[in-house]
Amino acid sequence: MELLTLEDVTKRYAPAQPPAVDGLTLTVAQGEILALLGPSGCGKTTTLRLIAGFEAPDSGRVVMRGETMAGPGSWIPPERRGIGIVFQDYALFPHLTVAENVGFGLQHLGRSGRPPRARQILELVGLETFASRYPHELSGGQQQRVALARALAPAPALILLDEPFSNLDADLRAQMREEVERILRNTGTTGIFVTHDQEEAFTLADRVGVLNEGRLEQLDAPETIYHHPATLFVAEFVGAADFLPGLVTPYGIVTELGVFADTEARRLGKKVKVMLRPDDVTFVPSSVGDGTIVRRDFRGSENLYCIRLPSGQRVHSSQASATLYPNGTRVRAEAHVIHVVTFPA
Amino acid sequence: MTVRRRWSPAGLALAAPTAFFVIGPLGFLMWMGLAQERADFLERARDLDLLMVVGQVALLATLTTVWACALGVPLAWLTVRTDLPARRLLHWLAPLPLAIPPYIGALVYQILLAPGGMAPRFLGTGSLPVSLYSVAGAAWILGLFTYPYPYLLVSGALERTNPALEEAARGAGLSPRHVLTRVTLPLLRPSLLAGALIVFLYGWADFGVVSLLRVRTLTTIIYEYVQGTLDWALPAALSVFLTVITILVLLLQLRVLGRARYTQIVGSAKPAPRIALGAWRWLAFAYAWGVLTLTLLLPLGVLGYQVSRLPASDMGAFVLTQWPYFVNSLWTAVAGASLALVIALGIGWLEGRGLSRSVSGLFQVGYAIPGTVLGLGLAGFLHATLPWIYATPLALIVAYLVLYITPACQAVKAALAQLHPSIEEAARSLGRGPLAAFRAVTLPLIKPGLVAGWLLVFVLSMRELAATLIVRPPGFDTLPVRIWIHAMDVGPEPRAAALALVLVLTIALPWLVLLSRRLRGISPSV
Repeated sequence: MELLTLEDVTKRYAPAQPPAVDGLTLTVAQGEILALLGPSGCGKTTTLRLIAGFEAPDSGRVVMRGETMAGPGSWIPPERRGIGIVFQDYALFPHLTVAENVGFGLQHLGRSGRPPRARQILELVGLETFASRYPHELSGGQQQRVALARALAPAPALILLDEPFSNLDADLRAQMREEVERILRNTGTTGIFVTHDQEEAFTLADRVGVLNEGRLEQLDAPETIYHHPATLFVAEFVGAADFLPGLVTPYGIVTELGVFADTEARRLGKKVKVMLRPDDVTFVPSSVGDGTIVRRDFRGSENLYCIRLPSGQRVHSSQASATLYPNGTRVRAEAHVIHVVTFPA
Repeated sequence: MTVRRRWSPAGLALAAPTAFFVIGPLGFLMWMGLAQERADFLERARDLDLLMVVGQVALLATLTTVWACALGVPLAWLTVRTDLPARRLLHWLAPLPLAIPPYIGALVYQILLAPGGMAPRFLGTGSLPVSLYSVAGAAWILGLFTYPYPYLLVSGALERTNPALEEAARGAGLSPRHVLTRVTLPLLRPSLLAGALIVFLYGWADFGVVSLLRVRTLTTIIYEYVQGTLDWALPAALSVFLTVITILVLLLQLRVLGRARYTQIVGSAKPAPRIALGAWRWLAFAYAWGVLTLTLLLPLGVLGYQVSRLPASDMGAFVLTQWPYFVNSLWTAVAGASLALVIALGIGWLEGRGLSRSVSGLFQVGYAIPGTVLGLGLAGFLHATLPWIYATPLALIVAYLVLYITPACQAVKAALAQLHPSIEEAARSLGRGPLAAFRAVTLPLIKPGLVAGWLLVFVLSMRELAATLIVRPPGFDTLPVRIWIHAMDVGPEPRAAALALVLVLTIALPWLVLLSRRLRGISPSV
């Protein structure tokens, strides 16, 4: 069942500039976790603010549960939308305790109803012993949990998270990611979060929407985004990729690294670019090989080799880090592409 | 960020009346000043020897600036950057002379140095070889009681300067002395210039000190005219001239301050190393305490001593007669500060939400008007447009509002700037409307800043003399007015000193609160 729909939403901050959000259409299902992924300035935070009601769209509609939140002639202010928000900087109220922060959105429960609900939510995020602390007395991870608890307390149908993990250390980030997902799933809360970190988007989200210059490039499951990027931008932004020139022939797409199946039935004679992920490319050292290792980047669990092909084209190959090949090694490179993705050259 | 700005009814309701009172008096003066015959004006200007007077005012402002910087800048360097003994105490005491209005300083030094004063009597001579009643005397007083402006700006800049810059210069092979002349001082230049301009404007627009010391300046001529005749044209023309120069200097100052922000690098955790003064330590120590003695300890001591000389039998009657003036000062200052802060808060909040165009720039015109000029302009303007306000205490409150709405706006803006907008958005998303969110979250968080802003306007209004003298309704005297009249008519004697001490103590308490908050960017006009 769909919870939120954006219909052709456009937002422009200044008349002279290109729109921050440009004709955005998307639907979020009840209970789903959606990630909006894109580089900075792609319009993902603006999209969040349009949903929350901190910005009004210039055109298009924001509809939640069949009710128009924003659109021509109608406007529901943020406080009446029932949407919880976790801000990038958490925006905890520094003059209120943790319990008062969490109870802030529970005015309808009255003075006596608030503390039990606040306690219940604090237990959910594992902070019940911190109820009387002030935000500045908490660590970054704890502040994040309070922010999440505060947003969840009024039991909103939808919760928005703006770069929720960007202020956390790397090890804490993985832990919080897991925890946030558990809490959202357990409470059945629909979540939309924006991030520029593809790993974050892939691990947390049911579907990922990739945004570029205010437009939605692709909205799909993480695996689809990675293996079948709809546009060149998505292919390049999500994961590393090389693009190998190829020619469409009756036998398939002919490239320097062999012939690939033409799954998209392109017009014969058309020049295309075949996407190669580093894990698609393998190589064996060979004195007669025509590829040369020109660079090796040690990545911990893997080595990323850059191989120069005879044409001068470079491709990347990720290999287990156990064996090492020095620069200059002659190799024979092979591509094993399961999902052949091509783009017009 | 939202760029779009529009007028909301609330924004207009707040901004329009204030703008009316800021622009009105100036417009009135321009109209009056330009209405007269040119030949007529030139003839009268000759009679008054105006060219000489303008030269004298410029000399006074320049001397004041040099003197204030000579007092404040070395002291700032000594307390922030050297191992001067008791530098912490000195750093805390150094801004305190701002609690003594310069006209009270003039009163103190009259008691001390005037013919027949304490010092000549002590020395057994009738008078001192150098007269206090001169441009040099006025500059001496004004410099003594305005040096905290350059002190605060320069010491602040010294505290914020990144020591890595000086270390880099050392690394590049410069000797410590060359580091001082080629890195440290050039970095201080914008702050020093800004502080100097504040003092210059103070000297340029001062009325209290020069009138007490019988130095003829533009402000005293304007005041004489206002008292003596019903002729508006000449004082109006002089007022416009005085204000135009002031605005030009203020524009210069804004440019300088704008640049100063970029030269100072914030965020260095490590304080700069202190320079060991060695044998110079005690000379520096004597210098620092010399400055504080002249500007703080001696004035307080003299006032206290004078009060102790009041016959105890007169005390009761004296307090009874003067009490109403204190009450007048207090309630008008409280009303002025509260009104200014409410308007500033409303406008600051609306501006932050794009609901009001920026009007603080316009308000700065009010801040630039010398008190004497505003008094004259406001009196004429109110008389012509709102006679029911003219000659009521309301006129005084309007004067304080126009003069000090800018520091109030700055305080509100500074307080709001520290709040990230997401704090209020968080409250909105949790079910509070705009006003409820403001009350529950924004207001409690900006309260300390608002209190500081209110105190600042209160102190400035409490000590205001020049505009009050002209605008006040007949018989409605404030404490500064009483002190001034007493000192002018009766002379510098114990009763004036007693009133002055009461005023200084009333101002000092809020000042201590303000300074402990290290509030910077203090108003140049009084």
